[in-house]
This record gives sequence, structure tokens and C-alpha cells, in this order.
Amino acid sequence: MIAISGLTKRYRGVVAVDDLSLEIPSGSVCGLLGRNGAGKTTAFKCLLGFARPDAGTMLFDGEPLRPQVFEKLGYVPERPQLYGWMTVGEHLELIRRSHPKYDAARANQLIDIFRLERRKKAKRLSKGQQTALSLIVVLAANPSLLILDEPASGLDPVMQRAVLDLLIDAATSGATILLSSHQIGQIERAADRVAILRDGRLVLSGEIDDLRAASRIVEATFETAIPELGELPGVSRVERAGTTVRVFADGRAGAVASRLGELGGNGVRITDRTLEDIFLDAVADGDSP
Amino acid sequence: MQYAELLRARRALIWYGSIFLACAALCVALVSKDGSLASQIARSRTPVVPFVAILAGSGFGPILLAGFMAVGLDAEFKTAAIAWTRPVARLRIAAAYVAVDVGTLLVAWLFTVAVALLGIVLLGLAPYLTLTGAGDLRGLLPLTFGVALMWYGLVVLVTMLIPGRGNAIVGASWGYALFVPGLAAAPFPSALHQVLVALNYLNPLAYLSNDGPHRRGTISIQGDGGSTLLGGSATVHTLIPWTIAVVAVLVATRLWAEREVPA
Repeated sequence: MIAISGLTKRYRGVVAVDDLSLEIPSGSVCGLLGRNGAGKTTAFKCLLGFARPDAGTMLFDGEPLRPQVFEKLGYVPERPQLYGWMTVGEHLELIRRSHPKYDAARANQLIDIFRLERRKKAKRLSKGQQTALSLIVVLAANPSLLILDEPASGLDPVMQRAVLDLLIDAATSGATILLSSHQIGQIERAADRVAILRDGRLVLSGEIDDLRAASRIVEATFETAIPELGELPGVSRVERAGTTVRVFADGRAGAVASRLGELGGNGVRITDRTLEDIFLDAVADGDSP
Repeated sequence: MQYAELLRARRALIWYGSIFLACAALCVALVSKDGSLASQIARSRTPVVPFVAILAGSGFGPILLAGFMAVGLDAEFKTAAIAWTRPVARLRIAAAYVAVDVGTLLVAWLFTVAVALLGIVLLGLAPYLTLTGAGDLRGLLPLTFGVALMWYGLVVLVTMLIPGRGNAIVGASWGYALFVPGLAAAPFPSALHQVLVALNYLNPLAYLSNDGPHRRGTISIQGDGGSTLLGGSATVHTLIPWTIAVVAVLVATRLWAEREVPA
């Protein structure tokens, strides 16, 4: 379990992370979403001790961060941070010597999956291969807590799928995963919960299914222009595209659908929100319909 | 535990050894080009090759290497995802790193001395090798290595104070080492001259030129203008670099362990 409470980090007076509180239960995959500069990487740095938070506490399975926690905590950075002059095999040897739970069989399996050559130097690997090696050195140490900052960036779609499968496998085995990605489809596939940051603040968090159920989309097409919709109860956002309107309704989708029907809307239908809809809604600058 | 550090040390020694061997081979070839150097020395009035001179000259090797090794800790910020996520206290990681670096400098120095002696043998100068001035060895040994350590410690310390600029700092440090002695000998006003002289206490080249075997015991260099590069006794000159080295390394290690990864 990863528990973050009141995490705040400022850089030269600018608040990068503002009073972030988040709890990720064991065996859960939490997707951390946010636009560029929202504070995701800073939050990760604070969690790992790479940056000193101005306030807040962080617990890993109930323990504060100390060196021994890294026996069970793995981190994959946004950009690979490897020793360019070391070979793939030497990176694995480094992990074998420093992590007591190193699993050689698992390391070999991962090397095969990502088709890496052990004797090749890290600087000679492609960006995707370097990302893969970053992931391998972490997963080979069998961590039960994983923090991943865009772990599939730079990988081709096949490798991206392989990475997500590995993360899902790890979570199934009981690992707790905090994962950020700009590819919402990846989060949607791998995560069971999500936390969304905007300007360093947590604006939304919860299980993805619950968030979807809390709000639905009512879509209708009009023959000519979209009429004035007037006051619609429980609406968070309205999107117009040509003669089609999409209304994001918080819990009263039926009433909204009836109203659109009365206004002459054709093919009125109620659909679930995608995670992308939830994200865009959460990071919108508060501009109303 | 120090696997990455040892691999890095091995890599540094291979580079250093290769370059130094190439330079040594070139020197031997050039020196023996115009007849036997041994016979030229034999004809000289004082046919000796003092071992202390070889020892002092070899001290430049680890000083050169120290500058390059010293940026290693700063470079670790770029690999924090691996270097800092080992289940070991960061202070211990830094201490091990420095210990391996110091060992590497020692090996580099011994290697340099060995190659220099080999060159002496290859040039047929072995019969003229003398331990004349062997009493100076007691002072030269700690001085030569202490100066290399001081340079290592100072560069590490500056890279910790200005993180993320390691290579630029190494470049600037060589500018400092090469130009400050010259400035100290220039006819500046007294106050500025004293500052420049003081700066030379942080300059490894000043110690080796000041306390080389031919000048050891004379306390200071008397330049053409009678200026003094380093004041104080030879013992003081040995103690100062060691003190600076120890303090700089301790402070730098502590800073590294507590510093945030630069954005």
C-alpha cells in the first residue's frame, strides 16, 4: 500500500505539488493523470526521496521512506536513467548484487520478451530498448511497490502491450502500482483507479468504474442548428460539434435525455463516459458550457 | 556492493593506462631517436637518474585522472533511478564511491611510476637510477598523492555546490590550475598578489612545482622577480593538501547524500 498525505512541494515559490493526499491499496494499479507540468513527476520525485517535500508524509506498506524500502520499491523514470557505458548484462548484475529479491529467471524471461542483447552497451540501445531495460532492471528485483513514470513511452505498440501485460501481471500477483501516462488508453487498460492532478492539486480520484458510473454522456443530433438548451439539471459540460451535442450529466442523464428529445433531438442516447472524458472534464479550466 | 563504481574505476584505468602507455611509447621513441640516451647521460658530468624525480613527475598522472574521476558523483544525478534506488543509505553509496575513486587514483599513480621505471629500463638508463635524496621520499610520497586527492576533493566539492555542471567545472578547474601560478608571479599590487598566492594553496601544480625534488627543502620557489609561490615549510605543504582533501571530500559526500536531483 502507498499512502500519501498532504504532500506539498514548492520550487522557488512555485507550488509544484499542492497538498496531495492519495491512498493506493495493495494489489491496485492507480493511474496518475495530468497535463504536462501538472506535478506528476515532482510527486514521484518526492515519493522516492529525489526531492525533499515541503510538507506531507508518505508511507510504503506503513513505513516511511528509508533505504530498506527500496528492497520492495521499484521506479521506472520517464526518461531512461541507465549507465550508458554499461552493458545490459552489467545492469542486471548490478541489480543482482544490490537487491536481495533479484530473480534471475525472471530477468532472463524479460530479456527474451524485449529481445535485448546482454553484451550490448546501454548507450547503443534504441530509446525503446532503453525504456525496456529500465523496466527490466526494476521488475527483475521483484518489487511489491512500483512507481512508473510513463513506462511505455518510446515503445512500439507491441512492446507497449507487453509492458502493460507485465504491469497487470504484477498487480495480479499483489503488487501496488502507481503509474503515470499521457496515453489514457493504457491507463484505462491497466489501472483500476485513477488520480488526476491539475496545477499540482488533486482534482479527482477514485475507482474508474465508480467515476464512470457517477456521470454519463447524453448525445443527440439535431436536424439544423443546436437550439438553446437552457438550464439543464446536473450538467457539468456541454460539447457541440456541428449539429451534434454531447451533454455530460452527473447522475440525471434520464432527465437530460428527455429534455433533448423535447427540443427536437434525434437519436438521443445515453453512453458511459470514457476515462478520456473524465480526464478532460477534470483538467478543464472551469469554463462552463 | 560497489559493482558500478568498480566497473567505472576499471574503465577509467583502462582509458588512463592506454593513453599514458601511448604517450610513454612516443616519448621513448623520440628520446632514443638521436643515438643512445644512455650514452649521452654516461658522458654527462653527473650521470644519475634520481628516483625521487620519477616519483614526483609521476604525480601529475593521478592529478590528471582526479579531475575526470571527480565528476563521477555529479554524473550520478543522471542515473538516480538506478543509483539512488539501491537499498543502501545514500551517504554509504557516496562514501563507497569516493573510496573506490581514491583507490583508482592510487593504482593510477603506481602504474605511472611502474611505466616510468620501465621506460628507464628500455632506454638503458637503469644503471644510472639512483636513490640519491632518498630522504626526500618520506615527504614526497604523501605530498604527491595528497595533492592528487586534494584536487579530486576540490573538484568533487565544486560539482556538488553547482550540481549538473560537472564537465564545465572540470574544464574551468584546469584553467585555474594552469593560470593561477602565472598570475601569482605577475607584478600585481601586494593585496592582489597575496590573494593569488593564497589561491595557489588550492592548486596541485603549485605544490608539485614548489616541492619537486630539486626544490624540496628550499621552502619556496624564488622566481625571477623573487616572488614566492607557496610559503611555509615542506611539512606544512604536505599537511595542507591532505587537510583540504579530507575536508572537501567529507563535505562533498554529505552534500551529495542530501542533495535533490536537479530538475
